Amino acid sequence: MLGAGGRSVLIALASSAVVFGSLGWLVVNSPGWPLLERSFLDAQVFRESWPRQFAAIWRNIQLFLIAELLILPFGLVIAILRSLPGPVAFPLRLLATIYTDLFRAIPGVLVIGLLGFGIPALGLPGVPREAFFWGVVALTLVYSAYVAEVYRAGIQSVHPSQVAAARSLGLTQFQALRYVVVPQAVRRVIPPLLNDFIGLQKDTALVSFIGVVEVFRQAQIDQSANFNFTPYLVTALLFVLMTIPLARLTDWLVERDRRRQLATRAFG
Amino acid sequence: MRRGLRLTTFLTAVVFVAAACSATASPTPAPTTAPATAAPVTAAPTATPDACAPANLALKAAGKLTIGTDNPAFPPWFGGEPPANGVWQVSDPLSGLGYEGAFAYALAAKLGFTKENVVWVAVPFNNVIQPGPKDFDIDINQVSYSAERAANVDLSEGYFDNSQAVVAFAGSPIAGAKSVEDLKGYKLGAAVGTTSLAYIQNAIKPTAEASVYNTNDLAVAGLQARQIDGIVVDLSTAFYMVGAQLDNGAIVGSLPAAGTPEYFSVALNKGSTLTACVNRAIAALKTDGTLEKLRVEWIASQGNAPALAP
Repeated sequence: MLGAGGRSVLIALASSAVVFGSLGWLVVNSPGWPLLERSFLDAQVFRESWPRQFAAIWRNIQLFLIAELLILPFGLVIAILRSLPGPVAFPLRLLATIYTDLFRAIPGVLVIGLLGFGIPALGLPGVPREAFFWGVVALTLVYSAYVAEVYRAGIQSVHPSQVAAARSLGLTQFQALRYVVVPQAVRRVIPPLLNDFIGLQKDTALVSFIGVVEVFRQAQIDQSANFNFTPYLVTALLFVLMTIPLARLTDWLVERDRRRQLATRAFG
Repeated sequence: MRRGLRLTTFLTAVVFVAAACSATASPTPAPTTAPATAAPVTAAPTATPDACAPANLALKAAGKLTIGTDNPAFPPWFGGEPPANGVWQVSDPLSGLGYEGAFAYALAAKLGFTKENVVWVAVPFNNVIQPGPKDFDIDINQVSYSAERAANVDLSEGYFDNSQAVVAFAGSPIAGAKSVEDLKGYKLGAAVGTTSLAYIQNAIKPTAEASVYNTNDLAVAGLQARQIDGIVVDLSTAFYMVGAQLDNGAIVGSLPAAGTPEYFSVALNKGSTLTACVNRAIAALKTDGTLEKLRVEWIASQGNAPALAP
């Protein structure tokens, strides 16, 4: 069982141990290391900051989960509007195009500040004031523009002959879209959609701009209390722990899709 | 072979992670490079009579005193109208107006620098109090003294006694608060890294989580958006917020000192040879009444309407 494969595993292990071991030795023995260790790897600060940030990241999770649930359908609607054929749909196409152009062009933090500070300051009756609410709205608007473009790429990747075939079978334009185009389009763009989802997770930190104490702001508070950068490392670690499972899932989906396509080709 | 390769990758990753873990978890026996405690503060000027003469000082630029402050520089700390094409906004530190503007030039004069030999550099507040080398010889930016800060930068004797205050909209419920206890039930805001935020967390301890902003200006935006009930900020800045930044704003009240009274210090590079000279100059400005004169001129006089340059 443990033939050539087993031996190459052992060799790889030994070589990795040597390479990473000597790299580690070099880093730890470099002249600036004690300073770096004190500033970035303070165990005491880590222990103090971790529970606070772990609690604060719940805010980020709420932000991106609620936003993503809104983004997925909203982005699809925009993409479909942009893909509508015929002269009657021109104003809808135009609106959808302006929307995606605008919200991809404006920096996210600006949209957050504009909505989060600007709209509540108008004092309109019945309009929510909470910074968290406007954070979700801003993230939804910005990321829907990206996601709409991803969907549109998927929709355009479905060959026009499929719509022609569906129409010739008697499906209406809407039915062709609903039962033929969109299901194929969405399946094809799941990996880039997850990519945008990861981007969204990280951009929840921008909502700190309007005063929400989420994980990054908590890290800033801890950093400025101790003048030590370990809290930022804690934040980085939390984001890594959050996004890496998603990245692996994306890889797996891509791989599965590739295998399926190879399989169909082999049998077709 | 494929499987073997994948296993290899996995195991390599394990080795790597294990190595990283042991690196971070290693017992960190606090490499006590003791924060060079205040050694030069007491010792410097006695050695030679003119250790503090401009020619003998280690300066950023020879013969020039480089002073840092945040940009925009706000009244009542700074005054004057910044030149249209310059870097300074809201106020012009070069004008020598405002409490800190005037203090900076008085201090420079005591240290032996003429007005022409003072150079200003814009340094964000939160950069001033971080460890590491600085772009300035001295920084004058309402830096409150704290022991934690003094571990990273030299902080001079106080040049201004500060207190915290709460700013809100006149007529809002919080405006009726009479004590620190009365503030507990309200949503407060402050800028990150400030003694004001520390005051909220350590002295007021409100029931609603405080909102924390990048700057005081953004806290004002949060108040205007009615996302917070009140801002905790230095009293003198509170006057400026009420007078110039808010419509219908009011100072709910100044806050009692939590622990030791708060005062502003000049910030210098850690272990700077200038620190002792600056301390001596501040002491002289205190004794000759200059600081009190400046306080009456720029701070006490402002009442509810600070004079903002048009």
